[in-house]
Amino acid sequence: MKMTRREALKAQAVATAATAAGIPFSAEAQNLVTDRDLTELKWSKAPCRFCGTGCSVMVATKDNRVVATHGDAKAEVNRGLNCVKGYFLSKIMYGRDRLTRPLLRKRDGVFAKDGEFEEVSWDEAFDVMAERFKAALAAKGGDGVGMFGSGQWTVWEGYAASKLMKAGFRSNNIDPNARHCMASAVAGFMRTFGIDEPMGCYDDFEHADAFVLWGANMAEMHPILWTRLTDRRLSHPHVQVAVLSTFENRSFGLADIPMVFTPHTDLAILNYIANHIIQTGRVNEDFLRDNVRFLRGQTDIGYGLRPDHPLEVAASHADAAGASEEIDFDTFAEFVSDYTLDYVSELTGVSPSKLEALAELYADPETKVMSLWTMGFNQHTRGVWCNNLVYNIHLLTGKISTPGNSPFSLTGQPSACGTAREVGTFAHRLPADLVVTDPEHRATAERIWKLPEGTVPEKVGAHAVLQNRQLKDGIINAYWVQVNNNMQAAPNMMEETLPGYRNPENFIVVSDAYPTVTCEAADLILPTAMWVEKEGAYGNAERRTQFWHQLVDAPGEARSDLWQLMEFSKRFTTDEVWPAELLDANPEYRGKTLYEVLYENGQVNAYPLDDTSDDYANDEARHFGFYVQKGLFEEYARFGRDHGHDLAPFDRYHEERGLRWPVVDGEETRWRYNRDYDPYVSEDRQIEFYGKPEGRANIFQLPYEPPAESPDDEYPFWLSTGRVLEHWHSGSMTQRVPELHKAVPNALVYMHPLDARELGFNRGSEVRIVSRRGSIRSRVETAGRNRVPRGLIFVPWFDATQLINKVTLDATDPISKQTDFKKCAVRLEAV
Amino acid sequence: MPRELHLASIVVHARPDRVDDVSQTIVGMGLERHLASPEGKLVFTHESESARDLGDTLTQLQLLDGVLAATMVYHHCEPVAEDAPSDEPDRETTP
Ligand code: SF4
Repeated sequence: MKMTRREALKAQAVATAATAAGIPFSAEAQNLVTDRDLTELKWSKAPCRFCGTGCSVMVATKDNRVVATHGDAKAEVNRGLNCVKGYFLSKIMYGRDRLTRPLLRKRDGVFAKDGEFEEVSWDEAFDVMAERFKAALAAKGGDGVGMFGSGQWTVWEGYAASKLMKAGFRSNNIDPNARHCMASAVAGFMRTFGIDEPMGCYDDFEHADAFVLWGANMAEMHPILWTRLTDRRLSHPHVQVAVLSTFENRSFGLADIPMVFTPHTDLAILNYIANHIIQTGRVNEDFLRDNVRFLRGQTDIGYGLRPDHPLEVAASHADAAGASEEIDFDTFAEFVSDYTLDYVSELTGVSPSKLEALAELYADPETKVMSLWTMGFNQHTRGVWCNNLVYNIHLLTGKISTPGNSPFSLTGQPSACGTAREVGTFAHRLPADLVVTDPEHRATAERIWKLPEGTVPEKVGAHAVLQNRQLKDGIINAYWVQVNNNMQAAPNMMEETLPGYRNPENFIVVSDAYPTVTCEAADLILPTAMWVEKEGAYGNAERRTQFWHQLVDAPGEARSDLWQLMEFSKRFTTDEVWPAELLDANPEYRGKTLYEVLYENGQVNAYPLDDTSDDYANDEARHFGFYVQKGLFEEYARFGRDHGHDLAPFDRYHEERGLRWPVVDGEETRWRYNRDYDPYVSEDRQIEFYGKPEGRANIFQLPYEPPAESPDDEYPFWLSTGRVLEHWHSGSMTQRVPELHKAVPNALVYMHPLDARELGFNRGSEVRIVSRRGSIRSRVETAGRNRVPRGLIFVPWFDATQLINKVTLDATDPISKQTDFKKCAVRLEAV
Repeated sequence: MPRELHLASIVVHARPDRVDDVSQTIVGMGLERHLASPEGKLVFTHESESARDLGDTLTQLQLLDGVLAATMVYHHCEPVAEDAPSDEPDRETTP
């Protein structure tokens, strides 16, 4: 039988799905390979670009265009599946409003801050941009410039950016948008273990007996991992799932222990569990003796607001938020003994029986527990504490670093781990967990980068929220945003972000593939090549580094961030941007361009063009004349090899569906700190937390402290923000955004039906949400799957038509500087 | 606006006790059912002329009562040529 082309396509689609679902299927798909049209497709692997799960997809191209995708059956992460967001992959590059030419605000043919956007050449764009960066550098040195990057940068883009800023411009004013989602997780890891990122991996999903979701709505936000969790739960009836959140979400559907708690009281729940473990005699004493140290953390540490804010003035230890001192087990036990079942039940609004059932999951030595969290913990003014406290309960019981026992910090962005964290594109970091404040770490970076001593500045740069404040205050004057929509994402937009971008003293550059709110606020927009329009590498939440090849060409004059960064560096000489002392002491660096000292250093340009694949294009390699990505990666890998962060040789990643670092002697590591799996653990230890002295992890004594703002008479509701599934396909990634100041009331505020009735609202009523900082309009939704308790409203933020960050408070965790988007106080008014 | 063909296969994991009614609902939404496993996994295909339609459908599926997870596996997307030569086999099936 001759199939029509569409039948053949459908048969292939079904066959691929059957394989992914593990369902045996008939011979109907056998004719596939004979179909001429389908065999003309070229299939290649690439990691999905939409989230930190790191699914691998197979991408089909034909005539320089992506025409089909399917989940990669060879990928351990997703085993052939692909989530709802995956449907964007074939479309994401082909939106009608794709940016293809640089756009500069001009009036009468020259740059003008209040001008209109006009198309310009790359040369003109870079000329104007270089002039502004040079002026800022001349006036203020590195303090005058800044860069805001992303967990969507490829590994080498983040690395090239970090080098340009930290070594080239000698400024640590570089931070990724990962600051908004991951910074508390990072600080939590560093404080407890001394090394970033989870010790376990996704294999834990098939080993755990219990899953505890601390605020994470995995059913909507991490659907592929949710599928693995669901499979485990349904095929092993003893498995239990606890779901904790401040409102009922989709994940509650599978919950054996569902729990809605009062915002911010998760701190108390965590301490109660520690207390329960101790009181019921289930502490793993052998484990504690060998592997743990007890510390008392600093308390009353403020809320990361501007220093003159009354809450900061009132806080007694805002200036030393990260401090701690050693204590012993008994002191810790006594401290947590205050967190009794009664007290915590009262504080959280959760019934004692549920709290006890939850605590038992951790306490019972026979139950292997996986704890999972994302923004609920991280976007929290005590986010670092939350991370520390969840490690406490895994450490007290020794339930860690073994299959199924896994405190697991999930990530949102595709390369939040691989780029933002591992490359260290934060204001205080260098690659492989090194920090700018440590002279030895700076020396290591300078040695690897072949740069003179003293090149990398010691001063910690401005983090995300501080960058916006410094733009507003005219301290940073030349600013470059790449791959993210920070105008929309950052808190307190009207008071902090927008005034900074439009400050006449400042020049704002935004590189993006599509026009966003941030682009509209910029002075120069640079069109960016995305995803498979360039060769790339991402690192997912389980330490898996994945590569892809360039599969299609970028449209028009769009260029990758990597090209932009390196090409821009050619416009600066060391004499222009480095201080005289540095050059006097190292005259051989005089008169060189930053491009020469950073990227033509004999390392980054060590691999010839011939090394690139014959089967795939590589625009950057062709342009610069050498295998740029390989050179950058191999130089970067020097930081981590033999230091617990080993990456495999570059070429191997093009063959694999990713590898989890450390990759030692060609083998990836699934469970770190455990001798059975991790070659870094000493011969005489079973477990060794080698990021800390004596291989001991830290258990922290930390209290419940109230949030920065709680409801009161004037503003009686908690406001929580977050994502909802629908917004992944609302077109917000490809749709031109409406005017910044126009309030378009077509999005929703979820509220309790009784609260709505009391205020005289119906479902669908238009309302104004008002905080002390601003207001937006929205429509009331009282039904649906997000069922909020009384006194709390939930507003999705991932929606350009409803800019909830006009309302939110820019309170941050004082240690991680990550914003708490999950709670502030608001009132509702009829419109 | 140029027309496009979107063809996708979707694996739906239904609660084992809800397979039949979930399956019926989904067929009622216009999807074609192909395979089912005893654990409640179902394979559907969905055809449409817009990515928006596919996205909406996927979201609806994922939020259906009785559905634990709905994941897309395969997605083919191509412009439907208005002037495709008449001997192209897909002409006869293009709605
Ligand atoms: S779960 Fe994340 S990585 Fe996987 S397909 Fe969905 S968006 Fe992509």
